[in-house]
Amino acid sequence: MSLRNIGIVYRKELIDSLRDQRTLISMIAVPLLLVPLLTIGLLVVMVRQVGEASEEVPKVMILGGEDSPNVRSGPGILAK
Amino acid sequence: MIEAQGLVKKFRDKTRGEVRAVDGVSFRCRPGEIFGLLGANGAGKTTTLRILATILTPSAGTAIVAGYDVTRQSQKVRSSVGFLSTATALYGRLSAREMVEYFGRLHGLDETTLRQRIDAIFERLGMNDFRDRRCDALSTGMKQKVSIARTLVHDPSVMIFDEPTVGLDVMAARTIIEFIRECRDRGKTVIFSTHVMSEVEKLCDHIGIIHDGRFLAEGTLADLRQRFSKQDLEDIFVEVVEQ
Repeated sequence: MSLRNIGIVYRKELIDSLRDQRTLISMIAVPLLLVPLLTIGLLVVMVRQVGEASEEVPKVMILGGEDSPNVRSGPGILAK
Repeated sequence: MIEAQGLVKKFRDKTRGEVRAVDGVSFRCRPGEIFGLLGANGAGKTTTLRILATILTPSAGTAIVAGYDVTRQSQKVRSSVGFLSTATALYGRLSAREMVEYFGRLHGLDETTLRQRIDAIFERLGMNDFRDRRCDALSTGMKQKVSIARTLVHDPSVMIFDEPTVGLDVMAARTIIEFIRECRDRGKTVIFSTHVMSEVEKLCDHIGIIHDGRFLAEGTLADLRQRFSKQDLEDIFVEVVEQ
């Protein structure tokens, strides 16, 4: 096929695709709207979870604490 | 001019093995004449026409279309042939004008000639009212006109019609029939396949009866009537096929 014919077919395909709503949606609406929305949404969720995790007070259980009386009598330790 | 010599087309089928869809078909169709290929469904009409239009290559035999060999000079044959069937296969999102322009450009027409041809064809076929309307919004008759315009845009000397009126209403079929007559009157070589006897009686100068891929009878309507001593073409067809 000659370059001229390739150009003619390419131009026709381009016009045809640009008039197709489904192609337009998948070519423009999805990359421009859906992808940023998903990216920003995921970031918001991640930031929120990291924030919540940093505010949480971790609970630690000490096994065999009889040998470590200093640890057992430290601040915030609840004796069992 | 179309000259077919011993055309054969074999296909391989999983269940039936080798199938000879066209089996030694020879005929001649002259300019200014309509040659009718008459046959039942599956007789080999479409395969024969597709070989002439270079869509299929023959397994054996030769065909000369507009002076060019269908196997060795297929590109030149394509530029001399217009092929029309019932399936319009238009690009729905292109307008009627864009559609014809597209094929005109692919045939290598320059922009000035293309514009002149389109104006003339659209005027002749009464297509100016819908020239900028998208093809998917056109009626069947309008689509057929676009298809005709596409077939004519490169001004081919040979016209091939493969059952062009199947499934069309009376008005759309009439447009096609008139168009076929016009092609003959303009001196084009016209070959036309159908299984509708009345169309053959109305249109064809020469008739070839094809069955199971083989050419069984050929001649003018008057010749066939005389040879088989029957007036009705349907009776002639049945006798030829049953023989």
